[in-house]
Amino acid sequence: MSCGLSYSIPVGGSWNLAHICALVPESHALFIVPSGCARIIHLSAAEAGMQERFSTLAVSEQDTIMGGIEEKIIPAAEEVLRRFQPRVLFLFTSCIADFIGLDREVYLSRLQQAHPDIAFLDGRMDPINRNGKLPPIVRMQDLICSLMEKAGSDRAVNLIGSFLPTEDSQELVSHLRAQGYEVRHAALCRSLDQLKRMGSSSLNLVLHKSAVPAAIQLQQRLGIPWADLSGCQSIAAAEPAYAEVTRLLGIAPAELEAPREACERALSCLKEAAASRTVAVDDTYCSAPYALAAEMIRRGIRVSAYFADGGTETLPQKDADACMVASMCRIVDTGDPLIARQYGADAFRDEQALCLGDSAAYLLHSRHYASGLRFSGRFGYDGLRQAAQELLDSAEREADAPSSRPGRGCCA
Amino acid sequence: MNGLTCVLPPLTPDLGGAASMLEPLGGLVVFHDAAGCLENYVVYDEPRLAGSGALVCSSSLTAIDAITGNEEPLIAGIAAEAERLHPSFAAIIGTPVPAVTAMDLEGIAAAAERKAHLPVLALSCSGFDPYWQGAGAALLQLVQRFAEPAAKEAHTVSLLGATPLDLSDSMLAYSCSLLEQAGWHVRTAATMHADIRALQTLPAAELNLVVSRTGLPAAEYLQKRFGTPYRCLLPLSPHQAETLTLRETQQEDGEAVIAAEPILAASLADLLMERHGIRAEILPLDAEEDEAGRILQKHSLVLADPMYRPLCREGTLFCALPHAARSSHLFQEMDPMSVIRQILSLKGITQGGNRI
Repeated sequence: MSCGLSYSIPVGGSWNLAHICALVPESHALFIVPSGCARIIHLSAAEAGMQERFSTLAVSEQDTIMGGIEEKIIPAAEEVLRRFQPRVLFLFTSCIADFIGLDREVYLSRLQQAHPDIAFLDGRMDPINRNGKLPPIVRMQDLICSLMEKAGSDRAVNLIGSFLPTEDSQELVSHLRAQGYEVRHAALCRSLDQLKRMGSSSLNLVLHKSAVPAAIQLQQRLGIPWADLSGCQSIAAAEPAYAEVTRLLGIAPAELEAPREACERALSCLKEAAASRTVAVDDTYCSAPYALAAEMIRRGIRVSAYFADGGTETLPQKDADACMVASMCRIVDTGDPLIARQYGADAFRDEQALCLGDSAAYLLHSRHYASGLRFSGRFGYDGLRQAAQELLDSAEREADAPSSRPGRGCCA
Repeated sequence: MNGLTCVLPPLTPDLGGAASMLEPLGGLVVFHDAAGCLENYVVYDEPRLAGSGALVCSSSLTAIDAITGNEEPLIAGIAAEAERLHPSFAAIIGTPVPAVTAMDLEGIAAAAERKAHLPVLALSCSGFDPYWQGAGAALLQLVQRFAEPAAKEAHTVSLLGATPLDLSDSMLAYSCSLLEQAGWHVRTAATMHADIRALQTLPAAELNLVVSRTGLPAAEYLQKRFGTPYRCLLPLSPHQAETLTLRETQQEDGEAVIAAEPILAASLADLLMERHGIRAEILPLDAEEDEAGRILQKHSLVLADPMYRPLCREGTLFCALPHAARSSHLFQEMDPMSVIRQILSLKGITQGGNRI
C-alpha cells in the first residue's frame, strides 16, 4: 500500500489540455503560467502538428510578488488575437493562480467587452484542485459544451465526454443513424459553427462521468435532455441504458442480437487464442476496463492481473464487475512507488501475456498489447468486441514497446 | 512582447533540471506537487525513466495542505518509502505552489531526514527558472553532501554537468574519447555516468571539466573546498582536448549564430573559427522569443535546435542541433554529433545544413 507518494508509469498515450483544446475548432489557447508548466502543452502541440494553436505568457516570480499579471494578460491576448485570429480564446491559468489572488474577471470582462464576437473561456490547468468541486477535466468538458448554441431542433444526438468519436460499428450509434439521427461529436466538427450547432441536437449521450455537469448545464441552458451511458462498458448496464435512449427519443428499440453474437464470437476466438496465455488489463485502456475484464473472466479467459493507479480503491464498491475482478485477479496499484522497484526486479515479467493497456504491457515486458484511451468513445457490445479483437490481433504480432507520447488518437 | 511565446516551447524548468541530475543515483526523488509537474518531467524531460526503475514520485500535494502548511504527509511519505524501499538518499524538489506559498523545504527535508534516517536534499525549485538553475543546485548539493577528501590522482579528470538535457550519449562519448587520447583518464561524468560512490570520490580528480553550465556551482565548490581546479569546456576536437582552452569566445556580430547550451556553443564557435574561419555569435537560451528572432534574422548561418527554425529568415543555412532541454525527444532521430562532424570535416559546414 502506498503511503502518500505517487509513482507515474513512464508510458501511455493520455491526453492533456493541448489535445483537449484542439477539439474546439478555430480556437487558440493562451497559457498564463510559469513557463515550465506550459512545456508539455507546446511539445504536445508540436508532436501533433498544431503549434499555431498555443501560446504562453510566462508568469515570473517577480509577477507573483508584485502583482499586476492581469494587466499583462490583456495586451498578450490582444497580440494573440492579432496574430492568429481565433474565434475562441482559452485563457488558462495554473495551480498558483488562486494562491496569488489572480482576478480573472478583470481581464475576461475587458477582453469580452472589446471583442464581443470572440468567446473567451476561463480555462484552468490546476491539478492541485483535482479533488475540488470543479476538477480541470470537468471544467474542460463544461467549457467545450458552453460553446453550443440552440439554433433549431435537429434530428441529431450528441456524444459528449469522450475525446474520440464512437465508431460507426457501435450498435447504438448505428441504430440511431438507421433511425435518421445524425450522431455528433466535437472531434467531428470542422468549424466552430458546427460545434455551436450541437446545441440544436435532441439528446446528449454522456460517455464519461466527467461530462455529467456539462450535460446538466446543457439541459438547463438549452433544454437538451441527456442519458448517462458512462457505465456502458458493462454489458449488463448497456441494454437498459439503450432502452432509455430510445424511449427518450421515441424510436424503436435497438436490435442487439447481431452485435451480441459478434461480440461473443470475438470473445470465443480470444479464449481459444489465449488458452495457454494470460490476459492483463490496466486502467489506461478505457474508462471502466474492469467491466471488460469481468466479461472475459465470465467466459473463461484467464485474466491474471488488473493494474490501476490507486489499486483496489479505484474499483467501485457493490459493482458486480468490479467485485468479480477484485476476487479473481491480482490487483496492482500502479501509483505505488514500489512499482518502480518491482519493475526493476522483473516482478511482473510475462512476455507472452496479452495486455489491454500500455501500463500492463510495460510492467509485464509484453509486446502483445492493445493501446486504449480512458476517454475513448467505445462502449457496449462493440466496445467489448473491439477490445477482444485487438487482443486477438496482438497475440499474433509483436508491437514496439509502449511509448510515452501523449495524445493517442488526437488528429486535430 | 515581453514574456509571450508563440513559437518556441519553454525550456525544461529548474525542477526538471534538478530531477534530471538526480535520476541516475538511486535516490527517492519527490516532486512536491499535485502530479502535473511530475507529468511534465516524465513525458518530456526524462528519457531514461522507461525501464530504469528509478524512484521518481509526486507528493500528491493538495490545495488544503498547501494552504494550511501541512507538511506531515510529505515527511511521512518519505519516511515510509525509506523504510520500505531503502533508497540511498531522498530529495524534495520544489514546484510553483510551494514557491509562492513560501514553504520551508529545507526545514521539511531536515524533519524528513530525522524521521527517515537517510540524507534528504531540499531543492527549492520554483518552475519559474530554467533547468540549469535546478540542475546546478542539485549537483552542488550532491557534492556538498557526499564528496569526501581524497588524494589527487594524476591525469584524471571528472566531467561536471552532464545530463541528457544538454548532452547526447554520442557527444559525451566523443568528448571522453578525445580526453583519453589526450592522456586523461575520465573518472566520471556527473551525473550521467555516475553513482553515489563516484560523487564521494570526486575530489580525487586532478581536474574538473565543466561540460555544461549546470556543473559550474559544483566546480566552484570543489575548487574552494578541495583545491580542484576546473575549466569550462566540452572538448570537441583533439586540439581542444589537448589544450583545454578555446581560441575564440563569443563574437558579437559574427557571421553565424549558435543557439545551444553555452559551453557546447563556445566549443562549437571555437571549432567554426578553427576549421572554417567563421565567427559565431552565441544566442542566450533564455532570450525572449522576439529578441531571439531579431538575432537569428541577422545571420545567414544558424546552428540551433529545429524549434528555432520558424524564427529564421528565408535563405538561412540552418544546421539542426537538437537540444533536449528545448525540444525533448521530438528530433531524437537527428544526432547532434552529425553537425559536429560536419564542422570538423574539411568539406565544411555549408554542406551540412538545409536552406530555409
